[in-house]
Amino acid sequence: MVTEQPDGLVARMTLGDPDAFEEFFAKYERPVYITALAITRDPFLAEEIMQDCFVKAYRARHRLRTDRSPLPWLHRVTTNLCYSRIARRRMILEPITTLISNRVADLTSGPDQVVESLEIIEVLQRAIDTLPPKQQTAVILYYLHGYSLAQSAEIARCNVGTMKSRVHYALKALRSRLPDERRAPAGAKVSRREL
Amino acid sequence: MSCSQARRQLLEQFALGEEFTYRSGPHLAHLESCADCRREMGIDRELVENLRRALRGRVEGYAPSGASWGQIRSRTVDQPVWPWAVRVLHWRGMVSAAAAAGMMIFAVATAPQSRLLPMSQSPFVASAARRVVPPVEEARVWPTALSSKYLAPQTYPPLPGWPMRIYVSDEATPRDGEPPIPGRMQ
Repeated sequence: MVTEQPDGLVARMTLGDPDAFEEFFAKYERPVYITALAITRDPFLAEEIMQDCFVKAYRARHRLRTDRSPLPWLHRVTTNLCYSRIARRRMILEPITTLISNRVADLTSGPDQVVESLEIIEVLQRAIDTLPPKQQTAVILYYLHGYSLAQSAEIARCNVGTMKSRVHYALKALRSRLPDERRAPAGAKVSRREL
Repeated sequence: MSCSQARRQLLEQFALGEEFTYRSGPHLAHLESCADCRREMGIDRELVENLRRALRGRVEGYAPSGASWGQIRSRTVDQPVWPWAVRVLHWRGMVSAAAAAGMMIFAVATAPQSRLLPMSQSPFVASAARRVVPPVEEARVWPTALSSKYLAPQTYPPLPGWPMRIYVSDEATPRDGEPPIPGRMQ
């Protein structure tokens, strides 16, 4: 949970406990790294960003709130660092239309196989890269980390309605970028029970 | 109930993880009776499943290296802490250097005939020059009798160390056969 109490780690760090920062790192290292890796898709860059994030946290330890978890703050710093690094590197993302035409040439297989194929996953991953940063962050927080809309909104510092809208538009964009043949799983039935 | 209403509502409830309530009943009933909506919902359901798989695929099998903590530690905990006196001196030195640099930039930028900024002109010099030689537009509206007898007023002395670059002339009219001097009285 994002809002769970941080076991006084920040307070101990502020008081100068030498072990507190190591515990802090061990506790929050994984979610920060996952966020950075999900955005950048580069393990080395993600590790660099994670290190920068914890250095920032250490330097800002006197300003961090002790009554709530620092995880939203860490996620925010991580996403900001990711997008600033990506902009600095001027990563040129391949247009999704080219990718689709290159990677999904064989559309003759059955719909079930198509959906299960790795190709469609790869296409979706590329499509995620082309999402606007806010929508991308929303999708990563909501679908990868499994945060609720309220928690995701707390991390992104926006309203729940705004977060809902971002997820909704991200799904819409992802769906629109799939080729027509991939959008139509014939015979796919959704019953009340499945829902 | 229209298909678009049902799809929008069910997509929100399904894709955004909202719980089904009594209000979902009509939408679900529509879903059971409408093949197109069932198909659309199937697409969305698969999209969300694939999206989760795609996101998991990005991070599965990766973990931060063990050297990360050592590098972070060297940049934070193990970094030497400077005594307060050194920090104050460093801070004051930075402020003094910034002030000196600012003054130098101001002096260079506003110096007359600056080579760094050839088109620039100090506001002091500009106002003094305006008093000595009024622009042509102003001079044109003056009566001829006055303009022919125009005498430049006494200017203020220049700032200490600044060269005198203001030329005062009592020749308000050009000589015969010579073109008019731009910016001067005619």
